Amino acid sequence: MRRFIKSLKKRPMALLSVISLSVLYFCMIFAEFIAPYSPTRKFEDYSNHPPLVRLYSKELGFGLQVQNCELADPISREYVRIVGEHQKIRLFARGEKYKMWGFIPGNVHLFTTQTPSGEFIPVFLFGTDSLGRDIFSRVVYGSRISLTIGLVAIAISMALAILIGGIAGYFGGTIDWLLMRLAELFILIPGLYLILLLRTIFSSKMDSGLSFMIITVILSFVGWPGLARMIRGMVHSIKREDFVTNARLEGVPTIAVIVRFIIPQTTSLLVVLLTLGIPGFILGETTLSYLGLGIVDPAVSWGSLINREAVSVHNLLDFPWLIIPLILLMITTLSFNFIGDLIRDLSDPYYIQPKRPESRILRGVKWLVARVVGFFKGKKGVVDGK
Amino acid sequence: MENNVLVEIKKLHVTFGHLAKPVYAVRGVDLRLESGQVIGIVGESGCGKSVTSSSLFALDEPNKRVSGQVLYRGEDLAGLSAKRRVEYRRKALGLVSQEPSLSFDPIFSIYKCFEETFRLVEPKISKQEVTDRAVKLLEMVEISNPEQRLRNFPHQFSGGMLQRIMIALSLANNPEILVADEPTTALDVTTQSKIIALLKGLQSKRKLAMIFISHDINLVADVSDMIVVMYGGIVLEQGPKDEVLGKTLSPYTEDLLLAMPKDGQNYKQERLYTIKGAVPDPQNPPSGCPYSPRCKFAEAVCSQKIPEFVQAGDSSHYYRCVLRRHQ
Amino acid sequence: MIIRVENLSKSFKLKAGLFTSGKSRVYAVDDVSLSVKKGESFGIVGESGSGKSTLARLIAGAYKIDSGRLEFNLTEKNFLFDSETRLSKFRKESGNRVKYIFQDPASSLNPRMSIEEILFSGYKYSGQWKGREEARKKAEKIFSLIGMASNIFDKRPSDFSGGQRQRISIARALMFDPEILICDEIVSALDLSIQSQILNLIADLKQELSLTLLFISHDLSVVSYICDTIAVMYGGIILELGSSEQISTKPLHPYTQFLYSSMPGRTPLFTETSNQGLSQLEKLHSCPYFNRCPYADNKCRTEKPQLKKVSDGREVACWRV
Repeated sequence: MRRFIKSLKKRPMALLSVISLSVLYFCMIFAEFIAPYSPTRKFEDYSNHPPLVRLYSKELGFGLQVQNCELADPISREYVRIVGEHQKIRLFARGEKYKMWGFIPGNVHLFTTQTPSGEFIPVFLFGTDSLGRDIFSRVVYGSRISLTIGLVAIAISMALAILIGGIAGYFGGTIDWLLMRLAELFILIPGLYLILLLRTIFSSKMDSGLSFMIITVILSFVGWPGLARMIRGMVHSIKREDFVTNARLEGVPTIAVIVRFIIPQTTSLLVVLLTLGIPGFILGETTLSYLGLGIVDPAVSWGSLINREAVSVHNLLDFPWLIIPLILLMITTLSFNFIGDLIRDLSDPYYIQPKRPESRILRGVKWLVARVVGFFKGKKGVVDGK
Repeated sequence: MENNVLVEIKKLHVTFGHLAKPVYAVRGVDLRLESGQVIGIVGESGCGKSVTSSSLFALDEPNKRVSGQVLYRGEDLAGLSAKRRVEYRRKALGLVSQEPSLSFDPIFSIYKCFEETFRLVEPKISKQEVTDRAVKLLEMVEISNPEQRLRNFPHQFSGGMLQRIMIALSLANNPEILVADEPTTALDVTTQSKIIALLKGLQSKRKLAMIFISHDINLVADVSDMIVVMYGGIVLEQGPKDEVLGKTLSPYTEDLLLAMPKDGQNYKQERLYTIKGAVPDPQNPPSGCPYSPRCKFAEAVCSQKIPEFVQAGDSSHYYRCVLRRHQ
Repeated sequence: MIIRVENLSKSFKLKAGLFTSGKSRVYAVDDVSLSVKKGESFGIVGESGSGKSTLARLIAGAYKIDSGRLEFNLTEKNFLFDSETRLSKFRKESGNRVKYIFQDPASSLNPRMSIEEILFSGYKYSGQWKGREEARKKAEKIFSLIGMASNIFDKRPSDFSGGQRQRISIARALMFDPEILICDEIVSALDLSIQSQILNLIADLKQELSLTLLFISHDLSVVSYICDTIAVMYGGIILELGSSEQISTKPLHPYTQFLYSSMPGRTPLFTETSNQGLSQLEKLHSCPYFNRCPYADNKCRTEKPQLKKVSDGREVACWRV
């Protein structure tokens, strides 16, 4: 762990990834608090409203604030700002009521413009969609599905992979052959079509919770065979190590041999597979939702957001803020990949941390200093080993 | 006399790894190899015997820092241009390494190996010529049916056969110096004796200069004229083999000879002589004489500085030990 | 007789899988019989591929027996194993009293475990486990016996040198109060100056704990030193059996003669007629050494020699003796 933190300093991209993922996951966990509105709340007067947060106005001076807008042209949906109608954004203020994680009631939000009296100018950090729903709130709530589905799916497929790969690798022979052929069968079928098939077998009309479950299970089913093959290969070589034979000779039960002696040897690989696997599942969910087979309204995920909003080039040209969920998706997948890369390098015993190249100027200065010192020491400054 | 000196190593220091945690592999070795002479280097793991011998190859490696000089016929290898250094390696040196099965590329047939080796020196050699010369070399190392065996791949040979082929390959370009780094460690006793006999025969026939490295002092004594005993990156004793074995001067060599089970010795009658402690860690070698923490004679002086190389009488027998000098 | 091996055979499949025929096999140990007296140190020497390690591992219960019997007469119980015995039963019954020590401590000690975990991981599942405290006390006693400090429980194998690691793997075996120690090349991965320490330790332990040793090595001088009886194996069978002194001074089988005269510093007695041994992919129907033996005649080529008693405690498998 300490090595991980140390190496982060040398990999700015990985550091950035860690930070952005922490922020995203924090927002996900405290979605009710972060999002100013519920994802389904409609502001009918403000459909397709652009993002608008201002820092200065004559009336209120400096500070985060919103300015009221009005629809100028209902055909092209252009908004004009109304002069003089400003409202400050209050941080940690009371706003819409919610139940945190479904059971803790509260009404404090990170930021809101809502006042107890009722009249207020709504704040749209990322703009609104065609029904006047706040995209920011929807993105934050949507991450609940999009960011967890990867974790849950990788957990399920990893468990399957460890079980099946472990058994196949450890016992070998016929069991190995059968299990690996089964895995290959799954690999054989193109993943996307398998997903489509499985998804259509189940009814598409179900509530969001159930469909979330189904999607995760489907994704894990597509995900395990590759992992299982890798784990099987590792187990196959580790079981020949002397210390495993030793444990077996001492009469350690088979399950304990696998769990205590073999699996720990694969941890570095598992961590890498995990981090590199998550974005695949997130993308899988997005794909399904994009095809309309995943999460459907009113439930919200990044995939369904993209499906709803990024339908045509025109839509995006007119309302460019609708692309924000896509950007977040990209950031998440890239972040997982960068971190996975770093962990892979760290767990590879043959990997040598590259030294950050010294700048030429610094090198020049060092060389000069060494020369000068050497000169005064009477030419004894030749460094050992040149 | 001077003309005979093929290679001279002067004050060789080799350090590996990171600046913060360097591994001191060799800490000041002087060695002289005359033509036709066989020098045997004995030592335990991490004593720097392989690193010393590989300094002849003058390979630049990342993480390796070398100081001191390696002279080939009076010329400093460090001063040679890269091209000339490669030429020197191809023409003057042959290497037989420890693990024959790992030294061959499994997808190259034996013929290919020979072809490659010849091409290094003669780029335009014909196929017929390669075959002829390879067959001759294989006959020299006593491999039966050399013509057919040329088509075979490394996995079709046993370890002993591969080691023979390796010797043939290393002699393909008529080198002056053969470096044999633990050539028989991976082999069985019976195969070992055959390979050693072959090496000895070839050495005397071709007047090769040879550096023979092993951890087995008996084996080294069998092969070489001079024995160099290394420990902790420095040479503790060096001299003609009869002198080193018969009139041992370094306590380390003495202990090493004592610690080996001898003929007729059995655990029921006598205990083996033991050397206490463990082999020094090249990352932090002991100060002073590297053997001092384990030596039965050690006194306070021993751990202060590395003892000087002392000549025993006026022979070519040298040793490093502070205490012996007072005797 | 604490161990009695009767007509033990073991062959391995060359390929694994559903559709591979079991026909191509390597015959590693072929009809071997021997017996080890209680308190004896019994050595097996041979080249690589001679079957010595397979034989040792068979006795340790690492593989299922193909045919033949294996009998242990321990102080408390007697066991009899044959090809019908399931491995788990084999290990359960004999496992605690017959301990196997591996060649390379660097690979036989799990690098991710602490010394405590290493020592207790197998012990925990044996019938002797009486809680952590008890086990720690026992381990400390063993540490003092093998010359290790008693405060090493939390360290890892990488903190120790090769010799110390081998001591730890010996300690691990001693945790079970074994009666038989099978030492498979335990000093060949060690430096020369460490070898004698471990050999002396083994000799002392044998005396103090009245162990029976089965010592496997390719190093002739080591085996001659540490063993009372030596069996010389070649090509999966035992060619010669006798006391350590007899074997090393008056070898009778041509192979043994050649082996001992090939040690560094000696001159081989004769020149072998071939550099390569017989293929082990077929069952033996001849002397395994005939193609290398200069004295071989027709009988050697067509009939497999059996161990014959030559004198007291001396057996040779050669048609010429």
